[in-house]
Amino acid sequence: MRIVVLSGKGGTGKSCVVSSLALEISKRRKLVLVDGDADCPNQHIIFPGRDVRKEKLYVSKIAVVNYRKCNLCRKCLEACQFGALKAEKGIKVDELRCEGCGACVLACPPGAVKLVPKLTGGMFVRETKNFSLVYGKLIPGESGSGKIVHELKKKGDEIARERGAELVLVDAPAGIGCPVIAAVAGCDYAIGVLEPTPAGMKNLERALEMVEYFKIPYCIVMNKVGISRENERKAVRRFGRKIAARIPYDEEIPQLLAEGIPPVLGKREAARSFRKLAEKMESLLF
Amino acid sequence: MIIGVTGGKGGTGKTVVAVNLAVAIAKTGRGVTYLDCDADCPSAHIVMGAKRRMKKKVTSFIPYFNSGKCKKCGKCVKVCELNALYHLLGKIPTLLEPICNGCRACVLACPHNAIREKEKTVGWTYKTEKYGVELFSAELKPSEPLSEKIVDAIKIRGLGEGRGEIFIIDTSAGAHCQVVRALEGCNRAIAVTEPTLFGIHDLEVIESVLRKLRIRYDLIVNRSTISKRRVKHALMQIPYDKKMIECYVDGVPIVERYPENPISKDFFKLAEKMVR
Repeated sequence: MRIVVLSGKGGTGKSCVVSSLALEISKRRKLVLVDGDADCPNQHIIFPGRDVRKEKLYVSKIAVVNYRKCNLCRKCLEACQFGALKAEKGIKVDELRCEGCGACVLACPPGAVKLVPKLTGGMFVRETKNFSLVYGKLIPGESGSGKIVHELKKKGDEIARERGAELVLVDAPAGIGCPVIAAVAGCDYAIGVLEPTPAGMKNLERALEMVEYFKIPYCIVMNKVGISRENERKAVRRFGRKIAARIPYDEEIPQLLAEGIPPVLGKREAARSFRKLAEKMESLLF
Repeated sequence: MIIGVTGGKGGTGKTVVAVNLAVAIAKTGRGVTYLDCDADCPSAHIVMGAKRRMKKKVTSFIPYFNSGKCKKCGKCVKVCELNALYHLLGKIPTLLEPICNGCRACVLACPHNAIREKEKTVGWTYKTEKYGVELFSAELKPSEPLSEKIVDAIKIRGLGEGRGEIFIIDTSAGAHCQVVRALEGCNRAIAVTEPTLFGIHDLEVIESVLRKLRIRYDLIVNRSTISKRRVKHALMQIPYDKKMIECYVDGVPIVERYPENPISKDFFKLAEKMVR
């Protein structure tokens, strides 16, 4: 079973919920955690351990011009839809803009342009005390974060099969664009983390619209309960029974997270609510 | 001048900093244009409490097959790098619409000229005004993956129509292509972070993007009092203050509601510095 945790807006508490869920559920079941945020991965900071596998990922492609064959006809410039080619002393490829679609290759009459695989990032498998963690690192600024997330999920499934784990937990990045779609696609269940603020609600709604497009069932966890009573009421009106759990706002949580400790290990009320959340999720899903 | 506001990690306060800075600059009498380039999760209008108007569609090319001309050769399917096309033997190819990024490689590959132009809506851009700030906002259609196309569209519209002397560009979280697109062309940048392990880790990621783009940047540390950790060389430290959360929840910038608050005063000072 694959579960994804997402929120739309950033900083609502995805990694916080995921790390706590993973720790709690791993006491009773085998699981694999996949950090789907390849731009800014955070789970490997929370869970120390040894990286047992490292792989370089060449998932995206880039156009390369052979200057010996190029006759400067500029047909490739017309064909490129992304403005990635420029004519200055020969044809130059803007690495940050090139999507690797291959339109220029098809357009070039002398066949001077080629697509070559490009190093996009790395993939790591880590053995922590309680479970295996799969995470990736995108080379900053590269395109292809969606493709990396796809690879990470494939790896997560493979490890789950090897170890006989029944659950793959995916931590989605912020936003609703291509890396998030890659994290959500193919999952069996989604958990939306809601922050009771106007921006938090609006953006979760957009994220769930995308989840609904993929016809994935979901529930909502309301985080930081207590920062705005009015918005909590609005959220209940808007999402109703989809809200499966509430986690109170407690200043202990940011303090623990600042040191990279999952909040479920805290001593106050919020830690207890995380334990309850894990139990509820298990009873809901298994 | 174009100022980019970014940060790497989500929820560090990019939008709050950008909005307060924009309103503070507007109060000095300069024209400010704000481009909300977070197409995935636009929230500047929510933080400002503005209603978005003047909606415009952003479209992208998708192929449409002329069944009379198509010889079902499958060449277009082979060239599609995203695997957005598939065809069963002897059938006209089928398009998986959300995957297509509009590269037109299939049009170039088709030997029979059987592919015609069609458009799909991928998002919208808006324009509005509040507190003397001209706001352009971008919005991605949920389930579409083409955030960077919307970012390009909002930059073209905002930089073209905007009348401000100072442009503020608010980026999305992360460090992938749409953040890079938003930051391209900025004269300077502000990286907003928080003194947590995650904040600092993600700051290093965004710093390497900024260095790659050769943009001079300054740091702003938000919620600086939640941890003992100190971030050095910051332009501004924003302490943890319940008033900030209150303003955020109510959709009013703090410089507007509490101009006497020390945080607001710091924003006015920062605005002076940026304008100079």
